[in-house]
Amino acid sequence: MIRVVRDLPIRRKIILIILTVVGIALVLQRTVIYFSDLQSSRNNIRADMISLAEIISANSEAAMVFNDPRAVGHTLQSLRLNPVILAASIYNQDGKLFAGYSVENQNVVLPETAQRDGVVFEGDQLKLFHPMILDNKRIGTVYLLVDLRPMYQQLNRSNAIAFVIVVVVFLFALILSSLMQRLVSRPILALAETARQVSEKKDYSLRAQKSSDDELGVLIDGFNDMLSQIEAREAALRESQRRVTLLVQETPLGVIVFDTQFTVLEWNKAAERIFGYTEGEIAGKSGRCIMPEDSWNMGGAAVWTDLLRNAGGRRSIHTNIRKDGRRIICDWYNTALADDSGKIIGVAAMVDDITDRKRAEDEIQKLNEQLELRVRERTSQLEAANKELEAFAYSVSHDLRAPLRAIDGFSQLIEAEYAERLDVRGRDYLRRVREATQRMGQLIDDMLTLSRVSRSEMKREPIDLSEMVQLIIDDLREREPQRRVEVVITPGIQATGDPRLVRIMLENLIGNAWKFTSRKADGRIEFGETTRDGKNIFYVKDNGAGFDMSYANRLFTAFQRLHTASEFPGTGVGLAIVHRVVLRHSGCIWAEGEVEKGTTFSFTL
Amino acid sequence: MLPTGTPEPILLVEDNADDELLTLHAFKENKIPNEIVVARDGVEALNYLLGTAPLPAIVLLDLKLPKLNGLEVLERVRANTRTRCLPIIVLTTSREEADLLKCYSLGANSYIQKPVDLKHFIEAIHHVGAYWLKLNCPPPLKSA
Repeated sequence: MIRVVRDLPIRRKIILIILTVVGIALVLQRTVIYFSDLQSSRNNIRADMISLAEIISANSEAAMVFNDPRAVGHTLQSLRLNPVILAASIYNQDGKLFAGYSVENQNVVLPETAQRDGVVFEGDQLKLFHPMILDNKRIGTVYLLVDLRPMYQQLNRSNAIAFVIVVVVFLFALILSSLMQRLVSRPILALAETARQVSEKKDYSLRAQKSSDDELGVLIDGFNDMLSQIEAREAALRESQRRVTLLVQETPLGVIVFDTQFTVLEWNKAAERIFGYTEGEIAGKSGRCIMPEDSWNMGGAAVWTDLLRNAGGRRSIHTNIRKDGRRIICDWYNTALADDSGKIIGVAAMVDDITDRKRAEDEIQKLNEQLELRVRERTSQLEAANKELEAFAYSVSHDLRAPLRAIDGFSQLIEAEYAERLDVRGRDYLRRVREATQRMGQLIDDMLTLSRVSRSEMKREPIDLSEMVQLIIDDLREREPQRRVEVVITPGIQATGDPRLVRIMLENLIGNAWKFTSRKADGRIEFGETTRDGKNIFYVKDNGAGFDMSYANRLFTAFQRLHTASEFPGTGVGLAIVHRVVLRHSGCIWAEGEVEKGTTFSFTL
Repeated sequence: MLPTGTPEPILLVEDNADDELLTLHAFKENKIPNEIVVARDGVEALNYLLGTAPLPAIVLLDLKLPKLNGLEVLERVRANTRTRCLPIIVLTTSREEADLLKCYSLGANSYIQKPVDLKHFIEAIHHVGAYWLKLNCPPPLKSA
């Protein structure tokens, strides 16, 4: 029953509720009125009858006193004018029937004796025993039997009228509620209809009409607001879907979706191009169509099982087969697809034909290997050459110096032991032989240094250049104490390099400056540091002989000299050594100078 | 300081005749009285040192030698108990680091580069005589 009511349309429900309420109210009201009417009618008739009994009592007192039953009977006979009085009687002091009256044809039996005073309702009748009092003395009892049927008929009549009124009111309520329920039900029904249309047509642009500002109004506002949000979201979703679809369709990567049985579900244009199958041809078929048996066994199956078991993404490279039978190499980016509960429902794969790339890579790899082999060969050749060079340098050091020592040694012995047998010219020639020998010895030493600088192992350590320069200067001053040279060293200049090589380099640079200022009375040598483009540039500056800038490019070439040996002694190897050291430190060096004004060597390490 | 009697000889291992002559001259210039025995290659030097002849006071050893080079001589001399402590002075043209390192590793007592200038060479020999024959205390003869 409750279920039936619950499932009623809201319109019926509203009417049902109104009618139930109205019905219950009417019935209750009618019942109350009925019983109230009944009670008041009874009270009225009781009061009437008591006063009637009083009247009868008053009229009969004298006759009672004089014991005249006829006179009493006469009085009682007058009651026939009142049709509801069915019988009346008077009893004497002893309660014996004194006189009586009863309506004819009614089979009314008068009680033989008086009963207790009071009013009793019995069915359709009322029985009244009332005391007769005279001078405060009881002289008898009045009895009345009243027919209540007319009273009940009257009550029933008004009941019938009331029922008609109830029915009319009920009908009226029905009509009114049918009309009034629309106030509530119409907006709800409209809302329901809108909701139905939205869900049926998936048209989120529909809106429910708002007709009131009550709770329903709030509900409809909420509903419409929700629709707007859904509409916006739907639009965004559609846009993003459109983009994704476009991307999938237009991407140069093949996009393929498989179910868990490796059956092709989706297949884009690029996949058609790569494998030669149209979507129609391959959809619903197994991915094994494009996976040759050997490729499936060699990795394909393993990747597939791994994807289904462990989810996530895998990148793999497989040999695949096209519709035309051509084998291609493909790069696969596979992603396991899972539903909301995490259950794997398939695999989405992006695939790229890398056959050409792979071939090119293989080619490059092969070339690289060849190149590496060649580099190795060259390196070993170079190493061999280097070894040869080392052996050569060793030879030079040993073999060239030995005869030189003999030349010089014996020249000196001639000078010492046979001087008196030589004339001035002979002695001059001998001096020249010795000088040449000394120069050649120096040359050999320099060449060895150059060769050593080029091939020795490199260390990289922090070096205090200022300190190193100072030590070199101290050395030079000790060797030529008669020289007066002003030396300016910026203290604390730091660099990183091989201390031994840097020392050789600085010895040469400072030695040069020292040498080329030898003809100046006010020789000056400066060592300092500047910065350009964030790089530290060190410089050695002198005010010595200088050089012609047009020869600047020849400065660092071995055996290239810009002065004669008689002007300034030297082998022409020193700056080549300097250059080599700077190069080995990946630095650079350049010189600026002017004849008779001085030279500045700048270098980086 | 000079030991009584004839001093022990000096063994000069030198293949170059010019150098030999100049070295002898330098000894003479410095008035060093020791007899100079000359070995002209490595084998000769070893034969002398590992033979029965009395050990020299010092050995002046060149590195570049025919047959066995100076380093090999040095190695074998040091391997022999009789000559293990013999003062050996390497006297060579080379100033290669590698040579220096090898000589000292093999137990050379001194390393002198022959100067080109005869004057400097004579001076060098003077120092050798002064130091190794006079100042320095030699190892006991029967060292083993």
